[in-house]
This record gives sequence, C-alpha cells and structure tokens, in this order.
Amino acid sequence: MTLAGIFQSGVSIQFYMVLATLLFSIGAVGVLVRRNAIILLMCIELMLNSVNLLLVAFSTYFGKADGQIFVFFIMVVAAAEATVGLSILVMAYRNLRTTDVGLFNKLKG
Amino acid sequence: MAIDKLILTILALPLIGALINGTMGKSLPKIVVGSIATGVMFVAFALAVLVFNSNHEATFIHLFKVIHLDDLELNARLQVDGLSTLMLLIVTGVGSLIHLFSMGYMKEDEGYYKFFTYLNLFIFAMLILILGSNYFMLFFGWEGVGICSYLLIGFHYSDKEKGMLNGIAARKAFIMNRIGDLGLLIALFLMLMQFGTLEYNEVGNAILAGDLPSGWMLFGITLCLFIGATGKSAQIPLFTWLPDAMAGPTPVSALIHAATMVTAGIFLVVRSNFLFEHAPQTQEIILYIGLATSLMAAFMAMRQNDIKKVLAYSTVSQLGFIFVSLGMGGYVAAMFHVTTHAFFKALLFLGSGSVIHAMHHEQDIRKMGGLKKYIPITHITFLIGTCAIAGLPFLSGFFSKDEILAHALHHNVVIYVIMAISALLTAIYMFRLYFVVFQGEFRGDDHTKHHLHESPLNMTLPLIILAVLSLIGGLLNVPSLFGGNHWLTHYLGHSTLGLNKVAEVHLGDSQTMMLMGVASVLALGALFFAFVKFVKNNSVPESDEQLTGWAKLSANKLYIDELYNALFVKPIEWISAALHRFVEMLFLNRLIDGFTMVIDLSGQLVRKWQTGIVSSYLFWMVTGIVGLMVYYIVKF
Amino acid sequence: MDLYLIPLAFSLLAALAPANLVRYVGLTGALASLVSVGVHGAYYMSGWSVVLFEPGQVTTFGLTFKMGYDGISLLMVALVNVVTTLILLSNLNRETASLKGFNALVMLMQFGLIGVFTAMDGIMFYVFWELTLIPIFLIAYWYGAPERKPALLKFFIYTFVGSLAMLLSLIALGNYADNYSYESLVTVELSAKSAFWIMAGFFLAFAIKIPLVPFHTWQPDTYTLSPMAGTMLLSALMLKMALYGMIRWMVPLAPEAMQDFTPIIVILGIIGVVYAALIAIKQSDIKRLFAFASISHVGLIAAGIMLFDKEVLGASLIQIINHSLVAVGLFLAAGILEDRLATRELNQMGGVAKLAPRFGFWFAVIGFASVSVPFSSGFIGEFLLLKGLYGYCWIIGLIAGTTLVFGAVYTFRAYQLSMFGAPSLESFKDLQWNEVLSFLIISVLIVLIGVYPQAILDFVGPSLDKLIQSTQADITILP
Repeated sequence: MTLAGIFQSGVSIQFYMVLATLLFSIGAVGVLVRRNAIILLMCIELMLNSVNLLLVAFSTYFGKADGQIFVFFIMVVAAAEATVGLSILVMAYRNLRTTDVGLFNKLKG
Repeated sequence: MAIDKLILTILALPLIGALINGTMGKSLPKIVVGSIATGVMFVAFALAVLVFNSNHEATFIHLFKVIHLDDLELNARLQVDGLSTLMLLIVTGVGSLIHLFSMGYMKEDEGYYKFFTYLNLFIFAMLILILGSNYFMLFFGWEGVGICSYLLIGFHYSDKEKGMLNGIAARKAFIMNRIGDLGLLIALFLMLMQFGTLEYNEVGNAILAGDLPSGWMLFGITLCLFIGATGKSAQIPLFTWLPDAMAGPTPVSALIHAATMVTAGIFLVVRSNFLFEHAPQTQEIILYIGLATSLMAAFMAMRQNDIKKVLAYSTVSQLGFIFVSLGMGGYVAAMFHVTTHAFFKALLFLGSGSVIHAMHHEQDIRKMGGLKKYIPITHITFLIGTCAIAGLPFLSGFFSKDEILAHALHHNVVIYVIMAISALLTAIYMFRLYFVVFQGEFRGDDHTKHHLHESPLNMTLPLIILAVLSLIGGLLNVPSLFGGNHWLTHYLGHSTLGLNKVAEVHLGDSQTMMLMGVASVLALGALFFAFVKFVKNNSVPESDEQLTGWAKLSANKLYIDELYNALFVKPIEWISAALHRFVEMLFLNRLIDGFTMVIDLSGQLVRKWQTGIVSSYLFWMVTGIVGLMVYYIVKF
Repeated sequence: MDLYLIPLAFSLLAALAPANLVRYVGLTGALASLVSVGVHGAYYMSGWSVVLFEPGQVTTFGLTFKMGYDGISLLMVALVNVVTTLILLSNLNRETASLKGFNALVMLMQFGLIGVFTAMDGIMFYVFWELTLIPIFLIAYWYGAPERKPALLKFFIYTFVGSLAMLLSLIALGNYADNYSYESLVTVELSAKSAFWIMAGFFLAFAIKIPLVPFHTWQPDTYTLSPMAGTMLLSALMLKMALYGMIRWMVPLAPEAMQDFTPIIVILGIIGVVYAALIAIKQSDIKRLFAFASISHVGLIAAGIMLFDKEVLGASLIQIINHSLVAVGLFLAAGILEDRLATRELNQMGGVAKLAPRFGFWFAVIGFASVSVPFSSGFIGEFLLLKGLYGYCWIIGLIAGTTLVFGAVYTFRAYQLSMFGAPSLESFKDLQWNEVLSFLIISVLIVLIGVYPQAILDFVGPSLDKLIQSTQADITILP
C-alpha cells in the first residue's frame, strides 16, 4: 500500500496496532532495563497508555462505546496507582536516600 | 401374697436398705443403720421361706424389656424354680446371719454405714444373679456382685500400712473377675448367634427338643461359660484373687468369698446343665480343672499361718471339689455341697472373725493358742464347723462330700482316690488350724491376753445358728441307706429345667457303706494325726524362713503369684511403656512432625526465589507472559 | 429456630454482661436451650425429618441453607445441651466461669455444635463443623496450661487439614448432584472409584477428629493442656461430631465404598482400643491417662458404626451419650484433683478419699461407669457393640473385648493411686454443691440409660431404619 493510499482510506487500524505495540515494547524494555524507580513508573504508565490507545482505536473501529468506557477506568486506576507508587517511592527515598530499585531488597526471602 | 409380689419385695428390700443407709446413714446412729440393713435381710429371708413353701412349679415374672430391637430381645425377667429358691434361701438366710454378725464386728469402724450399704447392695446384685431368667440378667448380677466385692475388699483403703495393699487386692479381684466375665460375655454372644435368645428356658427347651448346635459351637459356648465360672468361683487359672480378697473385713469374706458370690460359677453351670450335658469335652475340662484346683489349694492351705488365708484356700479347694462333681454331671450333689459349704464355711469365717475380734485384729495363728478357755462359744462352734468340713461322720459335710465321692467312684476310681486325698488334706489342715488356735497355751503378748473376751450376743448368735445348720444340714439329702429320701434331688429335679433329665448316681447300700467307711476313717485319721502333731507334741508352725522343700512350696503358694506376675503383669507393663516411648513418641509423633518438616523444607527451597529485587520479579513476569504468548501462538 | 437463637443470643449476652453476673448468664442460657430442646423432643413425632429452616432458594452453586432434624439429630442436640449445661455447672465455682470470653465462647460452641447436628445441607454442615473449631481453640488457647501453645497449633492445623479433605469430598459430591441438600447428596449414584475417594475425604476428617489411631497424636497433648472445660468440650462434644458425621454423612453419602472402608476402619478402631488402653496403663499424668482412655473407648464406637445395622447404630448412639457423660465426669474429677493438688502426677497424689469422702464416692461412681459395669449405660453400649463386632469377625470381637479388662486396669489404677492410701496432705476441699450436682446428674442419667436403654432405642429407631434403608437403596455400583 502506498503512502497516498493510506491517506486516501484514512488511518487504518493496523497503524494503531503497530504504534501501540511499539509503545508497549518501549515501556516493557524500560521496565526491565532501567533501575530508577521513577523511570520504572513512567514506563508502566507508557504500557498502560499503549493499551488505552488500542482500546480506543478498536472501539472506534467496531463502533462500540465499551472500549472507551474501559479506558476511563484504566486512567483512574493508573492515576491511583501512580499516586500510591509515587508516595511509596517518596517514603523509600526518605529512608534509603536512593531511588535505585536494585537496592530495594528488604523482601528477600 | 402372690409369688411375683413376694419375689419383687425380696428383691426390693436390700435395695431399699442400701438406699436408706447410703443416703442418710451418715447422720443416723449406728444401731439404726445396722438394724435397717439386718432387718431388711431377715424380712427378705422370711419372705423367701414363704416362697419356698408356696412354690412348686417354675414361675416367671416379666418386668420390662431392656433392649428390644428387630430380632434381639433382652428382658428383665425373673424366674423362680427349685434352683433359684434354694439359692435364694442360702443367700438371704446366711446373708441375714452375717449381717447380724457384722453389727457387732464392725461396731468400731467409722465406715459403718458404708459397710452395710455395700452389703445390702451385694445382696441385691446376688439376688438378680440367681433370680434372673436369662443369661443377660445373670450377667447384670454377675458383674454387680463383682463391684460390691471390689468395694468391700478395698473397704479399708485409707489404712496407714495396708491401705494401698487392700486396694491392690481389690483391683486384682476385679480384674481377674473381668477376665472371666469376658469369657462369659463371649458365651452370651455365641448363644445369641446360635439360639437368638438368652432365656434359660428357650435355650434349654431348644436343646432338650434335640435342636443341637454343632459340636464345636456347644464346646465353645460351654467352655466360655466355664471360663466365666473360673473367674467368679476361683478355679485354676483365675483363682489367685480369692486368697488376696481376705484383705476385706471378715464378715465380707464369710458372705461373699465363701458362702455366696463364689458359688455363682457353680450356679451358672448347674443352670446351664442342658448345655454341659451335651458337651462332654467341656465336662472333662471342668472335671480336671476342679480336681487340680482342689488338690492344689488344699496343698497350699497346709502351711498358711493367717487364719483367714487357711480358710480362703480351703474355700478354693472345696469349690474345686464341687466343680469335679459338675464335671461328672453331679449337679444336685454339687448344689448340696454348695448348701452345706455355705453353712460351715460361713460359720468358720465368722468364727475366725470372732477370734480376730477377740485378738484385736491379729490374724497370725502362731500368736494364738489355747483360746478355748477365753472364748468358749466361738470355740465350740468353730469345732463343729471344722468337723463338718473335715467330713466327720453324720455332720453336714460328711453327707454332701460323700455324694460327690460316690459320683467319682462311679466315674473313675483314680479320680476317687485323688479326691479322697484332697479330702484328707482338708481334714488335716482344718484340724491343724483348730488345734493351733484353740488348744495348747496362749502364745500372744500379755496385753492381748488380758483383753481376750467372748464376742457379744449378736456375734455369737449367728455362730450358734450356723453351727446347728452345719450339724444337721446333711439331712437335706440323706441317702436311702439311712432312711432318707433324697429330698433335695427331688426338689431340684422337680422344677429346675434339665435337672430332672440328668441321671443321678445311686449306689447300692453296700457301696455307700464302704464309701462312708473310708471317708470316716480318713477324717478320723486326720484328726488323730493333727492331734498328735499339734497337741501332743505341742509344735507350733515354724516361721517362713525355716521352711524347706514341700513345706516352703506350700507356704509360698507354689509361687503362682510370682509366676503370673512374670508372665502377664510385667510384660504388659513393659509393652505399655514400650508402646508409649517407641511407637507413640518416637514413631507416630515423629511421623506427623515429619509432614510439617516436609512443608517447612519446601518453604526453605522456594524462598530462594524471593530475591527481593523488583527487576528480577519483573523479568520473570515478562518472561512468563512472553512464554504464554509463544505457547498459545504455536498452539493455535 | 430457637435451637440456634438461644445459644447465640446468650453468647452475645455473656459477652456484654457485667462481670459479677456473667457466670449465671452462661448457665441460664444452657438451661434455656435445654428447655427448648425438651419442647422440640416433646413435639417430635418420630418420622424421617423435621425441617427447621429452608429459604426455598438455591444459590447458584447449589447451597440450600437447609437445616432440620430427625430422631438421631435431636438426640445429639439434646446431648449437646445437657453436656453444655453440665460443663457450665461444674465450672461454676472456678475462675474461668467468671470470664466473659469463656461463657460467650462456650455458648458459641454450643451454637456451632447444634448447627453441625442439624445441618441438612453439605455446605452448612462444613461451615458449622469449622465454626466449632474457633471457640474451642480460643478456650484452650486463652485459658489453658502454660505450655499449651505448640500443642494447640498442632491441634488446629491437624484438624483443619482433615476438614479440608472433607470439603473436597463434599464439593466433589456436589458436582454429581443438583444442589448440596442432604436429600440430593444421598440419592447420588457414584461409581466405585469416586465413592472411594469421597469416603476417603470424609474418613480423613472424621478419623482425625475422633481420633482414630494413628491420627490421634494431637489428642493427648491437647486434652492434657486445655483447661478443664476445654477438655470436656473436646472429649464430650467435639469428637461426637465426627462419630455423628460417620453415621449421618460418611456412610449414607458414599455407601458404595463401604465394603472397602469397613475393614479398614474396624481394624483401625480395634487397634486403637487395644493400643490406647495399653498406653493408658502406664501413664502417670491423670489427664493424659483419661485422654488415652478416651481414644480407646471411641475406637470401639467407630468400629461399630461401620457395621451399620440397627443394633450397632443404636448401641453407638447409646455409647456416644455414655462416653460424653463419663468424659465430663472423669475430666471433672481430674480437674478437681489438678486444681486442689496443683499437680497432675498420679504418683504425687494419694489418700484423697479419706479427706474428701464425697469426692471419693462420686469419682468411684464415674469410674465404675467408665469401665461399663452393668446398670450403667456403658454396659448396654459396649455389650451391643461387642456383640456386633463379634458377629462381624469373632477374633476382632475378642480383641475388642479386652477393653473390659484393660479398662478396669487403668481406671482403677488411676482411682486408687489418687484416692486410696493414707493421706499425705492435711486437707483437701471436698466437693461443692455444683460439683456434687454435676456428678449426680451424670450418674442418674447413666443409670437410667443403663437400666432402660429401650427409651433411646425407641426414640431413634424409625430414623435409623430410614437411614439404613437409604444406604441400602442406592448401593448399585456403577462400573
């Protein structure tokens, strides 16, 4: 398919899927390789949002509203999660003077 | 009064006495307590005489159903016939005399009201035993008398020196009886399986109608019944409790361990005569066990120095004698000897009680001697009892023993000879006892001598009555040689199931004469031997250490107690301790702990995975998700 | 409903009552429930069952909430109420009785037990079954001997594991049925294999609770270290749930597996009878001795139940009642000795009968009842049970019969070591009125049942017939 063809038929669903996959992969890799807790949280947000994007795209594609409703829920949960996560992080930083997750090993069995 | 009311009243009287004394006895004066207990017994005896006079046919009194399930029916039902009436007379008659005696004997005891409560309870249980119309009721009474026996043997449980020992003797009696009871119980199960009923009548009629179970079944039933009888009636191998049971107060020994309870085993066999008649193997066993017991106990009695122990072994021996008779099918002869034995053995025990009373609870005959001066009534009555048990001519023991010996002669001469030896030994040790206690010089300390006294009337009166009965008791079943008509044989045979069918042995006059002659010679010979040894030579039994050989064996009761201890008591204690230490603690507990250890260990293993590092958790999570994705993509 | 509400209400009341009244609150509650069960008994016309509670709705996973009773259940409920009354009465003069928690927990326990005995729904049965574990654990944990904690943990986990096995069985059975009501569970037809595993689950739960050798190792320690009332609850009531469970649930639900399990349970029961009796002979701790005695006695009942005919079931019920009453009596005596002598060691006792004649007398009565002499309910129970076992296999009957002998050995040993001999101490407080009353009630009941057991047999007879019929009807083993 040529670029012109794409523009003619509007942005098809495949583009959204590719974009969401890319975003999710970036987030996942970030979570795995980075050690800074703040970056980790941001990467998790990125993964959540990639899913949101996909939900909205499919919702439009099928002409149904439930995907979009889901997104609201996820946004609320993500916000809550970020709040809890950041506050934990602040406490951890206060106690340990670091945000390096490699040093958070108090749960070692 | 109708017969059923009479019987119910007789049954209720001792129970009422026990209830009154048991609940209020503590606050009542002793004389009232004793009078109530003794009074109910005398009334019961009077009523029993009425029953005896009015009853000629077997009568049944249905009380209530104890257990009634589909095909199982166990009733509380009473049966009055010749056999139970005879036992009723013995139990209430001898029982009331012993109650009367106890009023004097136990006067100083603080447990006075308890004693009479137990005695009355015992009579109640014994009455259930003899009056029940089925083996189930018999078992009720059977164990009931066991309990009372336990309570009374251990009566002085808080005594400083002997308290624990009394308790142990009581426990031994109960446990040995329990072993016998187990046999009886199994006989009951077998009968329920075989006949579907425990009524004497139904079982008996089934057998008499020719509806015989297989030989093995009959053998099993009768053998188990006999095992029960060996427990209660102190036969080999379950006899060692009876001598120990002398730890109880003397009236108890007279009532329970001589006159009534120990004859329960004989009663059981006589009651079940229809079964035993068809089980010759069991009869043989009974015969030989009885013979062995009779001889062995007589041997043991030779060297006992405790006045009550001598009488106890004598009881075991006499019971063995009776079992020999049962083994030969001589049921009436057995009951005859049970009756006369009840008279003279109760007399001897009560006499010994009177002696012990006079001696301030000293029971060692080596410290007695010459008592005839101090306690004349006891002396005369004891002498009569001794002569009766030794079988001096024309006393009660003479006739009853003779009938058993006649059976033996008819059966097998060897058995007759062995029994004659046992009878001879009986005469010897009884005269030894009599001479050592009553003749010669007093050997106790001055203090005791000073206080020697004849017992009060309420103790001597029973002695006198029993002495009279011991003298004339033989008239119950006088052989035809002396113009008698075998009254007891007819009476029992008339209304007791099975007994009329059993062929009685009737020897000719010349044979009877010969038998009686031999018996008289033996008894008189024993009298002479004992007289020479203990009066003429004035010899006193040696102390235990000086004894050697046979005498030592006799004094130590053939070491049977020690043997049982080593064979049964110690191993069971050892097994108990070993089971607890090794199986319970080391094996089972460890096993369960092992399970928890496995869980603990697996926890140890898995916890290594918990590194605590978030990145590694995330890594595993992502790996897992990717793995799952790959799996499903490949699969679909 | 009053059956459940009275204990529950009094449990709450006891938790809230002022401290000086609390001991009477518990007793009043027990008496009130006794009256209520009496009324139920008077109205009960022996039939198959009386439904107490049925909302008529079935939840999506099949729970029906059905509660009700037949003769057997009502008998057990009556037993619970009588024994609870006895326990509270006998504890009345003790410190524990004045505690709010204690009274509330005992009443809660009573509620749970009544629930167990009247549950007509598998899940309800399980829920009440587990509910009883909480109060008894807390009673033992809060008021027990100082070194109790590890033993109680073991008790809790051990019995809990068993209960989970039962839950699995119930769920598995529920899969074959429409719902969990007793009727539908009973009518399910099972293949031999699934019946085996279902019965195995029940068996594990019950064998641990009863306890059968070799699942008994929690029992002696728990009995010994619990407070007196706790031991009474455990031995007199808690283990009866398991025996009742065998009669009502285990066998009727999976009768197809009976011929596999009967020999196993009979043999384990008989091993327990002899094994525990032998161990009891040499125990020096009086409570431990009675604990092993209890194992010995209930082994016989469990073995008898598996024969499952009217005679032995009737006998088992009589023996269940007898064992409850005797256990209360024996542990009361042991508790009195422990309390007033400050030791449980038999070797340090002696001569008590002389100092405390009333106690000596009543302890002897209970002792005789526990060796099941005639005129006591134990005799009737053991007679019929032994007869049943003897009919099943004579050698097993014979071995079981040794309980008569061994029972006498250890009971009298315990009695004589503690009571006989010359007193070694100056004084021993004799029984108080509430203790005498407890002993008296126990003895009267034992003698009444011992002389006229037909009353109980008549009461449960029709229910037993129905129960046996229901097991025989659906033994059609599928391939």
